[in-house]
Amino acid sequence: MDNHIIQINNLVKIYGKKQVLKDLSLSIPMGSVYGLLGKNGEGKTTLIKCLLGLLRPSAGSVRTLCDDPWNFRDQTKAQLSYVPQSDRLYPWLTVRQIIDYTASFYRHWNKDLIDRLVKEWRIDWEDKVGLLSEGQAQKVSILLSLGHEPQLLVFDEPVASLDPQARREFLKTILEIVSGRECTVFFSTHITSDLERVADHVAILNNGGIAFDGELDMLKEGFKRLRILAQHPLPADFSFNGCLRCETSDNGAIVTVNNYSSQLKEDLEKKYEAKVQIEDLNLEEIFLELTQ
Amino acid sequence: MINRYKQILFLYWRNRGFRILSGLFLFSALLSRLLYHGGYAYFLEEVITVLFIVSLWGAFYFGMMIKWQFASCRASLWPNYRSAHITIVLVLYVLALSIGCVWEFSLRALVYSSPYGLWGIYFTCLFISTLVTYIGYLSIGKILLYAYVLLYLFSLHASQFVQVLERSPYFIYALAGGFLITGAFFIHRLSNIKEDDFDYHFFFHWPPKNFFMNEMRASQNIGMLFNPLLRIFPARKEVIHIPKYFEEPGIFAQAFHWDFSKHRGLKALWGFLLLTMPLFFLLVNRQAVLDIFKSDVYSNFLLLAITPVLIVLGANYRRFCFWGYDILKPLDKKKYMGQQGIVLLISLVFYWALFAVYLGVLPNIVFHPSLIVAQRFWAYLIFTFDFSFLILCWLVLLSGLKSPVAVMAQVVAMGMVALVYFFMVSQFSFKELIGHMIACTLAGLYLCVKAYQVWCDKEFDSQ
Repeated sequence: MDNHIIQINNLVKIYGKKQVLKDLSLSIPMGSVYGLLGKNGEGKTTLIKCLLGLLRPSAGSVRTLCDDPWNFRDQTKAQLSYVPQSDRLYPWLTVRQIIDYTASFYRHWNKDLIDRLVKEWRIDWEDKVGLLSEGQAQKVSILLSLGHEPQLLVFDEPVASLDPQARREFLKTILEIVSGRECTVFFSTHITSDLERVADHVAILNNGGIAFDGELDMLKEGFKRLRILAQHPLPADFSFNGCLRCETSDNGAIVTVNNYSSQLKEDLEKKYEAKVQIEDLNLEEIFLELTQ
Repeated sequence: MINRYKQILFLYWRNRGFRILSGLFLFSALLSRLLYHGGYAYFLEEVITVLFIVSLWGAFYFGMMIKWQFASCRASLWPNYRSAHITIVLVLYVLALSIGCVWEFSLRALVYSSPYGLWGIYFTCLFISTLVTYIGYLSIGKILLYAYVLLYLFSLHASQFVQVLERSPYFIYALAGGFLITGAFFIHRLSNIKEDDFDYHFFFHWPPKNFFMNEMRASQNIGMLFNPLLRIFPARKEVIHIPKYFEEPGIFAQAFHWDFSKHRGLKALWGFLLLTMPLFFLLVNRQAVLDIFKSDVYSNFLLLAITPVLIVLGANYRRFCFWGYDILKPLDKKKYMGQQGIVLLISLVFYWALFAVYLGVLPNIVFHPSLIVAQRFWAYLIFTFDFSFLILCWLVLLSGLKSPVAVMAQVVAMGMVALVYFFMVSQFSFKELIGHMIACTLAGLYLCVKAYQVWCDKEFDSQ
């Protein structure tokens, strides 16, 4: 296995006449916590399902854990787990019964971990799954995905139904799992603050392709907002390489850039005889800049 | 590995519906033994009807449970999931077969008259389970609508139909081939079902909005199967929406206001019947069948009395999806509930009339005109409606009172009452029919009032 746990090349997925994923390529490094951001309907779930072999790509290739997802071997399946946006669990089983049922499919099952999480997440062993609230059911789904300690964990909007406390507990667990052993987590979310808290890599999906993928720190270092106040009025067509958005007024401008460096600041100050203030952008702002 | 198989078996066993239906199946087998050894062998043919109903119901439920397991991301992502589940499905099917074989052994008297009867039932069960795994839970309702007609068209004189089939030297090969082909489709389906399949999502979904959307999608796909029919009898393309409420003058107009699906299923059914009637007439026109048709005019009691109720409940079940929105409309809640009841009754009259005219009146006008002028025939026909009314009110009351599993058990109890009528109705005199008609109507009215009170109380906490 090379150092990429998932390798996607020129992936295309078409539903009827609608092309959802367009020539998308992405590599997920092993051991990373990889966040996938994208607007509604951009194809996050489709991408996840393609890389797990739940949907067949219309074109392109996907390798997950060095295997073809459409024909995963049982050994590969034992090394991954997936929590969908809304899981269809068996409503007539109790939490204990569904955990026992799930455990029976895996050679390795960390019973202590599950016992601890059931207690920490305040789940009742004897509750019927069908009577659980949406958030509680989501917690059970997550539990079921952790017991066999997979190499690859894939979550589709894992915290959407969870309350803030449960979200924190979930994120804490993810960090524990990743720090304790070699494990890759790939998850989609809308909650950028959560992603910032745990992810070390991020991919932003826009118009069926990847608008950005790479390390989160690199993304945040490159994206800055510059407040420029020049001695003289700025030209009407004021712009420069790397400028994503620019609002000018007389001799002032607010510019968002995606390739910030200290050299750029110096160049602007010198060229326009201006004072340049640098502001950091949070992930939500970067996401909006990239997808607007 | 043993633990895995044990857990999958528990998955079935822990489901109450599965336990009840398995119990009923075993009970019907046991009943047959008791009847045979108790010297009541002449009842055995009736027991096979019970077994047939219980088996089909079980096969349908089993199919739903199977699809629940296989149309899931788990089936593709858990190691050894499909192979283990398919093994257990086969084990359960073989178990059911073995119980049937024991039963068949005990039913020697019946087996002599119809050696392929049980195998026919098992084949039908396999076919039903396969059908459910292909088209899903919701679309089965649409299929059933058509299947009711087909089934009853031929089952009116099923024994003759079976005898004709059995005389063919190729029948045994056809049956064996049917088992193999259906079994292969069944296993192929379970081994390969993926999210890309068109019917993957057709489940009973909650909240109701999803349920309704899925049902519409399922209907569209089933509609495609009947495309040629739809071209001949084009259904008006309607955008389903919640109608604006306004005070219509009459109670019937108000009731129809709620029925915005405008009996689409009924229209299709009429068209289907019109097309299949010539086939039915051709079948009855054979001398051997015609003799039995004339001598056994009251054999279609269940068809006329029960089928309309099932169709009415099926057709109106979708109304539940909109109750949450409907109660926001400017009308008294008790009045709203009453209008829902009127919708059910009007639907019942329509569906019953459909079956009564096409399967009761028309064939007799053609083949048995002397019967049409007999008082007893008309009393019998109206009695089927009264019994339908009683059953409908009882089911509505039950659904307001009890859990679905309790309803299931009580439906079986009422089914027994219906079966008793089925076997006895041909012996009723005109006066007895009138007596039963009055009794059923009064009981129906009483249950209707109770059902109204229960539903007002259940939904709105107001009576």
